[in-house]
Amino acid sequence: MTNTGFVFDVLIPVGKIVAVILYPMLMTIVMIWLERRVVALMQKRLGPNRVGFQGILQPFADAFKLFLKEDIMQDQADPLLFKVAPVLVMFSSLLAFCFVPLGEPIRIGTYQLTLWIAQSPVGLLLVLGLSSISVFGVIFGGWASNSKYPLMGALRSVVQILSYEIPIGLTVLSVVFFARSIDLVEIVNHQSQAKIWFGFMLPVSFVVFWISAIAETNRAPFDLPEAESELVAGYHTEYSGMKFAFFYIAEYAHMVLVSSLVVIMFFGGWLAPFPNVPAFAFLKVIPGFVWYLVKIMFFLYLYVWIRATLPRYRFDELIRLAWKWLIPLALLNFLVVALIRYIL
Amino acid sequence: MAILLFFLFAAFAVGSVLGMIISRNQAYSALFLVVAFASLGGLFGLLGAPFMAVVQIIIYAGAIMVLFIFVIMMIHLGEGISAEKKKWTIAAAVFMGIILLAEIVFAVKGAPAVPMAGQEMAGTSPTEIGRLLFTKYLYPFEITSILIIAALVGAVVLIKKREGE
Amino acid sequence: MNSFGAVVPLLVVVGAALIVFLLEAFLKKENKNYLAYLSLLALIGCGILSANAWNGGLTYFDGMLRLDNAALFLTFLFLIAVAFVILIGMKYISLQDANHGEFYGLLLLALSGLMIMVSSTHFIVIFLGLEVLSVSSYSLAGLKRKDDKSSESAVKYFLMGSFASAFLVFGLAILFGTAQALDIPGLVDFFKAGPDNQVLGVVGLGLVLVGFAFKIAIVPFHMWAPDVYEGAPTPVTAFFSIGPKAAGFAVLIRLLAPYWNAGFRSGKLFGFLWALAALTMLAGNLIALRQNNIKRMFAYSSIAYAGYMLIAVLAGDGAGLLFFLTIYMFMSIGAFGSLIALSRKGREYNELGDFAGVGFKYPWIGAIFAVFLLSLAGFPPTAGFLAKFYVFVAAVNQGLTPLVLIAVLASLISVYYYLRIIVYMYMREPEREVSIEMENPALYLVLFLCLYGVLQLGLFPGNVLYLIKQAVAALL
Repeated sequence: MTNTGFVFDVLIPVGKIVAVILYPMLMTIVMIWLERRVVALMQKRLGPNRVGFQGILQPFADAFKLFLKEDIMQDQADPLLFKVAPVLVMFSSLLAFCFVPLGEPIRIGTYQLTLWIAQSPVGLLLVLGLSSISVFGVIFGGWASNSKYPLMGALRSVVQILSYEIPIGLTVLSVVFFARSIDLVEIVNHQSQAKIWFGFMLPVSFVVFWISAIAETNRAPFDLPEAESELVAGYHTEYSGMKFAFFYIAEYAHMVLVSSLVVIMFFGGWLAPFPNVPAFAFLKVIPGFVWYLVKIMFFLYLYVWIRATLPRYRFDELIRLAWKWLIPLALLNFLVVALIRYIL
Repeated sequence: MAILLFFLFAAFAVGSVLGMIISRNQAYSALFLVVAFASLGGLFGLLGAPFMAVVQIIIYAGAIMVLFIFVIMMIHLGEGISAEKKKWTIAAAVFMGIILLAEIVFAVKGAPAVPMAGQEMAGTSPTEIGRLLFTKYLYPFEITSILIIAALVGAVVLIKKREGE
Repeated sequence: MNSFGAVVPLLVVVGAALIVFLLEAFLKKENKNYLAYLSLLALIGCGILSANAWNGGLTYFDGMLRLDNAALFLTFLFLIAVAFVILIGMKYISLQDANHGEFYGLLLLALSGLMIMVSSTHFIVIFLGLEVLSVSSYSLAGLKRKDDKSSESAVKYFLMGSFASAFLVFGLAILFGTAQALDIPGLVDFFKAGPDNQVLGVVGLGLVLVGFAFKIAIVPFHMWAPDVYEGAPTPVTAFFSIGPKAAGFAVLIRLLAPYWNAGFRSGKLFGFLWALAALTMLAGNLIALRQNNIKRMFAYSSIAYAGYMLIAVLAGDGAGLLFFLTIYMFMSIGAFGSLIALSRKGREYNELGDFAGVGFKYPWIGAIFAVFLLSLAGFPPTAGFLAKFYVFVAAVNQGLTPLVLIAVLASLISVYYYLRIIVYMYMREPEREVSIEMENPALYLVLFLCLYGVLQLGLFPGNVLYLIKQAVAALL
């Protein structure tokens, strides 16, 4: 008895914590490879294909290189903030993963293994709040470098992220209206009961959220804060070695986080597709977290696809898009959704 | 465990606010303030008010402080008040602070223990807060919207460029 | 009686403010006056609705909004004050490079803040009303955007106002923590119940009072007032001198009169306020002696007036306070209106030296200004005398004779600087050329009405006193 108690009380939580730390790293590695190969293929290039089968080991080689690189901090940088910035970014995205449910609870005998570390009645807000904390890493990183390009990148990033947080908040509200909860697990459960995913019920919300989410993660076509043709590398220009790697990993972790949010809020999380069609009932045999992985891989692929397809926005257009199109659209959508919810 | 966390968060909150005041670098002060808000959020969480905790982080740490830092980055602030003027200000401030502290300690000592720890308070869940806001506190809630309009218009009046300027 | 009718006057004002903001974007610069007419129309509408609610005792939002007669009386007062301010401001803002239609909208929002403050006994609502008022006031103070003094005034007002709000909120938090209530009857019950937590409660109450003392500019929390009054556009200054003050004192008397009656008339808080009142009257009047800028002088005079009003609060004399506020509104707006009359495009005459010989060059304006000054100084045929007289008598009846003696002394000091302006106007040779814009009918209308008010209330105050009696019945 004591033995199982030790397993359930200590080993499993510790295991989960390790998993939550490893999961974004793993996804980063997959994403780096996927991104480089896919973009290369879309641009009629080959991309990395030398290290390992089809270049699959290339990310490891990159990581190894960064690990061995000298850690440079130039003299005029602010020493404390320069070091704190990458930690802040990494910390907030890793912490947010604690609240993301990766699959339905698995029953082992009498024990129920939940595929999340913490279920909070305000989970959705927590994840959004923590992702807004990661902005500080970007700002401090840019400011502490005490150099022109990073500062420009950081300034752009503040304006961009603050602007795009508003449509995100407004669209999230419309989901919350239907789920009647801001608990991520409850939101998925509600979609399983309703037998329809919110993405199909609230298409406008989904589209607005997805566009804003791309902007929040500073990805193309909204990658102004790190636009290489204008700002070298934006806020992390002066970083090298592992500190740079932290920014890099955190960016991908953020993408994974946002994709998870999209999947959970709009596409049923770990639920199998076609719940209404009896012919597809066999799909339920496949475990929930596999479905979850498939879905987020789709959205991660979408990230890459969009990056390879669309040219970069100009900065004023980017802000205009947020304030003159997305926010009014989100407000209107919010109003309509509220009305529908009221009538139903 | 909860006690331990309480003291951890409390120490962080008080310590970072102290750091914010003492630090001469505005960016450090801002960082300390973010930490203070986050620890306050933690304290709210321990009190069984998760919604308050998250709102504390999203609004104060996530939105307001970002704007603070934005201003700090845009405007290069000087070293602040000159040293000699600072000396007597600090002395006066410390003196007043000690008086206020003594006053509050005295006042709190006279107060019997307020029942709060460990009890699940009513009106802390998001649903409950929403319900209260739209029933009992509807009037203050609506006044807040007037307040925001006044602030927005006021700010725009003072900074907007007019024709021919 | 629970009725939606209680909200309607407020809705009219806020709605008009929003329409003004909307139209502002589409109106040409020459047509900004339409916004003033629209605002006046809304004020009249609000006045009619409020008049209908008289003696109705309407409430709404679970009693958080309480349109009792005291609230209605003060609402009338504010409506008249804002209407006057709009009328004296119409020409002014176009002459002094502050021609923004938002002037009217922000004034209406400030008015709504005042109405919210006086029509509730719940401190959350009162605080929010105060913030609506303050936030609109901050930007009103900075409306002359190219004038450094105006910007300084806005920034100073904003910083000090936020500071005061912080005190207020901290005090409210402590009060709520100890008394578990934020409405005035609940708080008074808590203090009546016994010594549990009372020390902490009094600290909270003290902080709340400090917050209000900032807003109504009581010494030693008055430092912002002279700079703000001097820098703000003059019609806005006229509004500052009456609006925030009246609302602040209304809240204070709502809170403190029951508190005194609950047996705290000899407590520490009473002594504290007693000292503040004495200090305010003396300091305000003494510093005013040395001012050469008329707007600054009026700022200190209005600080001193806050001291007199504090006597009414200490005496628990609601009727005296309302009467005092009514008269002060006419005197103050009249005096600032006269200052506006002495201005032309891009130029205001605010220095004492400018006033030399004005009494003969512009006899009408000079004479009217002199009447307001005499009233402010408290000379008998005018209302200023009667206002002070009622308050002082009530205070003596409550055993506050030493304070009244100080007040009388302070009034005597004040006579010097009010008369000094009159002396300059009539007995000095003009030092420099003063030429003013004469065509301003709205302003002259307001001056005439204020003059009428000052004389009518000084000679035959019966009707107003009757209304005030009905209003105060609700207060205590």
